[in-house]
Amino acid sequence: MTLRERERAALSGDGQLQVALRRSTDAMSSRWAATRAELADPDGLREAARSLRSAAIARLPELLAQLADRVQATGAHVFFAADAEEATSYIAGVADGKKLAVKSKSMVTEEIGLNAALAAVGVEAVETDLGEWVQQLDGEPPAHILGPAMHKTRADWVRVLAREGYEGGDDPDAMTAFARRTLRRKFLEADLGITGVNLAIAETGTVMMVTNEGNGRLTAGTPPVHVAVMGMERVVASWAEADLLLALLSRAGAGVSIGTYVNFITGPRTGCEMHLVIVDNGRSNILGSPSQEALNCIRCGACLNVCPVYRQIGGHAYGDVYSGPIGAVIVPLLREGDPELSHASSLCGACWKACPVAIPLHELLLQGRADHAGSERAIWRAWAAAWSSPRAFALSGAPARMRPPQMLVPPPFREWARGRELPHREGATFRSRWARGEVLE
Amino acid sequence: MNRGDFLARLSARLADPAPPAVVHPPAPPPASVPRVDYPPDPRSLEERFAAELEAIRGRVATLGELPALLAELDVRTAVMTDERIPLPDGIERLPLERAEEADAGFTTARAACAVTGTVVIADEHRLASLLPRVHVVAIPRDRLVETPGDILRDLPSLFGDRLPSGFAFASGPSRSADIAGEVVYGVHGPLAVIALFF
Repeated sequence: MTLRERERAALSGDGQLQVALRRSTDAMSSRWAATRAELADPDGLREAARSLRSAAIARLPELLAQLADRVQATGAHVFFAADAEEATSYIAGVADGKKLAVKSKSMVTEEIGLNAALAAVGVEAVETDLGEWVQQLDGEPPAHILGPAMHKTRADWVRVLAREGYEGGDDPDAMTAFARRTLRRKFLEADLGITGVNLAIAETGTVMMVTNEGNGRLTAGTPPVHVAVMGMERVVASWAEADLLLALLSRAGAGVSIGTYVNFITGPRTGCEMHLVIVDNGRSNILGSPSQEALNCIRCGACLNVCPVYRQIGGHAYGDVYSGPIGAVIVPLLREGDPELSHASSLCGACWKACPVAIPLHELLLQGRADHAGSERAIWRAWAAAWSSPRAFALSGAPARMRPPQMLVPPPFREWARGRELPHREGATFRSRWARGEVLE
Repeated sequence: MNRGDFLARLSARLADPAPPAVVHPPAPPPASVPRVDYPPDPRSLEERFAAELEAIRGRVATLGELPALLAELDVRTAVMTDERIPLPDGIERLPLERAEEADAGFTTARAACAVTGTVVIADEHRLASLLPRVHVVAIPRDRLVETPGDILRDLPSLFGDRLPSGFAFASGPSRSADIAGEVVYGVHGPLAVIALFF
């Protein structure tokens, strides 16, 4: 399906998707506005964070080397994965002979298709975030960075959980208690725990993971083997930077002054094993490109919450793990994904305003459009040439005067013409009246 | 890919960067990372901590109030990683290996910060603070600071020269808004958090 087709599909339902999207995104974005006000200088902090993230990306090789050295010094293993296949092969190797893995929120593990790769070697990987779990049970990918099941109604939850043996009604507390009991067994039985990484602190080789549910600590801290997977850009130099970004990430993303559980892991527990997998998978395409600032992203989801397009069509319509404004920017760059995604935008700039590290996403979207302009460029050039000549300008008015019906508008413009009407013309054109020497009073 | 090749690829990309697409590129980074400051507040740190913890569905209690609170929560068994808070009468103590079965976990906090209602839980207290549905945590008064930054920027005073393999910030009970946007508690951690200062 093309982007347009997926958008139409998202808009053609019974409106429940839009109700759910509005409810969740409104709640999150209004809490960001409120928690922003708790800080003494929020915009100053955003700009400082922007500069610090950019500086870190500009010296990414150095920081990753320092991070790897420190992590290895703690007794953990470090693996540099150039692409998804290298990452999943390595992790499948660590999981060899094991039966059950528990997973805590990680967009990058979705991106690399880890669960399928583990299933192929006989390892069951169970998602433990409430929303990720229900999506996994329902065979759907996540719909939002922070709220993977935000499009589901309570009835949807009951439907999915009933298949797992849930016998209660649509009371969220009852469903939560069922999830707690069911997943608690998995934590205690699992051979392997796989987590994402919010930030990796190069100074000490520490991995920072934030959850609100508590599954991060249980995933990393209960099974004897812990694998932490990170996008290579998620490294910071110091604890002071981690503190700043934690304050911004919690507010912009979940709309709270701090995530309920912030875990700081520095090496394996006694008698246990830890692996850090650092993933490139196309991020180096963005390094050195005009859109390098997209690597500053700390995956908070704030841009999704304010985007007028995301709020209408939801995450699945983007056709990729990463959705919303950040997805529309990075997906075409990471793996030459759908270049049309940069058109899933009204260029309103709300994403930039909401971003806790002040990434000018709207400008990067424009860059994305320029990157893929292709034949469109020729059309713009032709138009510019035509309207640079008075005669050609006059001639081009003629078809418009006839107000052709939509059907006759040629295909490249038909989409644009939908929902737009040419104005009626009354009397003669200004040009012809001017040529007749009429004085216009 | 081996580390050398991986990093060399990144260096090559950075060696000849394209001009940025953005109209206003970022300013150079500040000489030092700015502190996350909060507006001035006349209340004491303990009062602010109590207010913040209550806002996230936890509470601060005195030793005298504890038995009644635990009775309300139907706590009959507990595990303890620290003896500082006496176990109220009638509550059976279980060995730590049975943390999963206990109703409550009694631990101490290594430190706490007021503006977010956060306690710092060292690894040896992890399972007791997380598995049971009630977490009772003792906070040393002299370890209560204002902000998370006050803790994160001064870790040596908490942990000495070497960081432990794990420690966590815990702010209130476990929660989620995943089910149709409704907030629920006690997902993979405690439903209730009771803090006592000593």
